Amino acid sequence: MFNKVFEGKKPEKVELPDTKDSQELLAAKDEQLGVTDKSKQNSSQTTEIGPEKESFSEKMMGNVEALSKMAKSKKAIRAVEVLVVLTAMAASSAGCVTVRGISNDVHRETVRAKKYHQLIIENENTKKRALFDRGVSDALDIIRRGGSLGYIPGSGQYDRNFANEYSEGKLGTLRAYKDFLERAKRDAATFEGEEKAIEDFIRIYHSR
Amino acid sequence: MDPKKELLELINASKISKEDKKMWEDLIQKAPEDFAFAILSALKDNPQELDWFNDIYKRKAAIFELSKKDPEKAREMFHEIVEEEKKKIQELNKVEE
Repeated sequence: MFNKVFEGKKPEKVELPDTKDSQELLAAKDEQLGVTDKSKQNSSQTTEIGPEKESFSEKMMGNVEALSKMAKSKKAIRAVEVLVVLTAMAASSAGCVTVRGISNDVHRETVRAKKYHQLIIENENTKKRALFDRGVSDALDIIRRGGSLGYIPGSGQYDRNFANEYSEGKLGTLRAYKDFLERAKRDAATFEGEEKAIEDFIRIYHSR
Repeated sequence: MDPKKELLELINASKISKEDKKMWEDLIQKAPEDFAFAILSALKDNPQELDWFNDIYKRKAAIFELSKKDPEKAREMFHEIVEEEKKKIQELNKVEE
């Protein structure tokens, strides 16, 4: 199942120094990678990593996903979930993307204002995959499924940095991921699922 | 019950057209199981919303098709739908559980 994840270049071990503040470190890495954090400019927009422009479908998916910020009641939240799904399916039916997967977020009730479905789509032309969610564990999911990440709209810099670095085969992402978890805990959210995910990641990585 | 089966039963019991029922059946059969679960979760409490979702889906599919030829026009139309969706979400925010 995980073979495809590790196809290609063997990840190069990169140790990140302990002395630097993690946020500063990741910000520097973002800069190095050319990451534009549009979420800081406009939280309702998607975030793009790398030189590729967003496709129409990616942009539209981002717009629909932004509705999640408005949803407060359970009924509204469920409606947004369906709209996100339907938009991906509509894009898929027109041949704009291939929907690769979706999963419910286990923490939805806990951090429901932040967490929605995870959608993995692949642009038919560029073969670029995009993940529509805000969770680091989802980055792990897409990696496990054999995908490489183009960008993660709406994610924090830790998520994007994790995915981006991992796709470059750098072990440094593990450190970034740990930093993210520590910070998330401090922010009073419950992220048991992510903890489990990182355990899985470590186990999978070392079983290569 | 299997979410796909349950959703199909719900759709077949709805008032949408036969063609649309067939479209949803195809769509659900092709989609991952979680898709069915997500839609079912929303419709279980609000089965009457199927009409609205049905309309949104068909319009969006048409817009994505249009985007291949006229992306600007498609973008414009898509934003109109998103505005409708925003209104809908605001309405649903006011609905008590």
